[in-house]
Amino acid sequence: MKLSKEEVEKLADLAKLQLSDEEINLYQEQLKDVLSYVDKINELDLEKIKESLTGAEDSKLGPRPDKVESSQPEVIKQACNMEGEYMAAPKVFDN
Amino acid sequence: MTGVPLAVKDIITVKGLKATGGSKILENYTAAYDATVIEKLKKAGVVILGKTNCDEFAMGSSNENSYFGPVLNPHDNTRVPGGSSGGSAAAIAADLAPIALGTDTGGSIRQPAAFCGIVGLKPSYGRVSRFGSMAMASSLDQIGPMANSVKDIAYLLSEMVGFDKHDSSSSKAKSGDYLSALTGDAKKLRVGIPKEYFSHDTDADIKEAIESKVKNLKDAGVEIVDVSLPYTDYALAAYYLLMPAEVSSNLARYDGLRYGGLCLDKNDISLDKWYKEVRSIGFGAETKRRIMLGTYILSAGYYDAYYKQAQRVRTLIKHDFAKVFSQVDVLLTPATPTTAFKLGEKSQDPLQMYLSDVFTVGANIAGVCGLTLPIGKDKNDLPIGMQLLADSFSEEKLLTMGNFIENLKK
Repeated sequence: MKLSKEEVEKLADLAKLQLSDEEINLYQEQLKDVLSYVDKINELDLEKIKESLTGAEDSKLGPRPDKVESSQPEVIKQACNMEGEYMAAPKVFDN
Repeated sequence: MTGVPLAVKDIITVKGLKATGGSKILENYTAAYDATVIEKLKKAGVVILGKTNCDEFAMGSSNENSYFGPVLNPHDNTRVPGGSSGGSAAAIAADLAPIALGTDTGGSIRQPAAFCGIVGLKPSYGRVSRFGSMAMASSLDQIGPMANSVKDIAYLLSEMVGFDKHDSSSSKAKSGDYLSALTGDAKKLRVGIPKEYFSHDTDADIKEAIESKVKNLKDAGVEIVDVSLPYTDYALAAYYLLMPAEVSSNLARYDGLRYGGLCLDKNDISLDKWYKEVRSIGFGAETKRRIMLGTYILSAGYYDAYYKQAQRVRTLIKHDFAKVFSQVDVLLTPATPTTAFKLGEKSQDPLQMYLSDVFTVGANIAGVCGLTLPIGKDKNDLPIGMQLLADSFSEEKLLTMGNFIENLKK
């Protein structure tokens, strides 16, 4: 199992995390250990096995009618930047 | 249950109370609604005593991952209470609350219950609504009761179960009669001993306590059968693939804009930079580690090799349990390979910490139910826990056997 420093930096970028050099080095080692361990599932011949989404019978799970019913106002009020009734976020596009 | 005080793991929402999930990123968030279980328990007359500390977003086996500091084990305060529902387990063990709620994604109710010498139940997947519980790994998460006795667990569970349209994984299967199950005939239940759960490096004191309990059961006329769950070894590996993948996706919602976020000045920062700064300040080390791991597992090129393969292993583990539950009613295993370990002992080595979940993750992967109960103390006077597992929606069998074992002691 190899995991380069650049790969760890790329992961942090995808995960929207800003990591220090120290964290990058630490995670590089620790992720390598864990990934080497979990790789043991690839010892199994799984080609003909169906995937299970959950422990339940997956066929019994499914969408329900989408009806608006929410506690949104109380949640939204707790946003850190409000402009009127809206949450305000930093600019996405430059002029 | 009028007037009975309940402690609630701070991952479950109670309207008007802070809901931090043990995280700095939610330090200032107040829940806008009651979780379905809270609504049900309030209707039953339960009084909410307060919230209990836990590992950040329920991720940990020692309760050392909370932003608000670790919980100490009331039996020895140099040791961990287990995790992630460590605060709930410790509150009961220290006699601060008679009953509590926890959540269990890979053992987070059963392992701290074992470390603190109390009783904890992970219900079957779909038995108890998770609406209002912060999502960690949605194919595994379950809310469950924690208490001093199997009897109290039965009372608490009876008020928690039932279909909930707000949780898409909630089952319409009929709820059981959990109070009658307490007086059910344990001698009609066959108990299986899965050999794979006894081949690990389990403490000698734990093995001895379990063996002596098995002997007591035999003497009392309970049929004991040796069984096998051949894919046990792969369950933990599959768990540490499925769980972080789902964590990285579920925790993407914490963007610092909603939920009482950490406020930066939005005028001199890009959105991308905002996310990165807020999440780096707001999440602790273990949370970041699991997000990174999950991002890797779900990234292009690895999704097929890891996530899909782990979902196939899940099928094999489900078959393992289905087969064994056609032979026996209940499985009996140790709850943990060791008793409570020292604070700091495993916090520098994540893989070692993960390996301590070896006996509990199988139930989450297969969606079956599990109960842990105290059966004695080790040489350091620390509680030893035993685990009982039963098929999905067979909580009654756990309660019948659990109550029988509790009364054997007397």
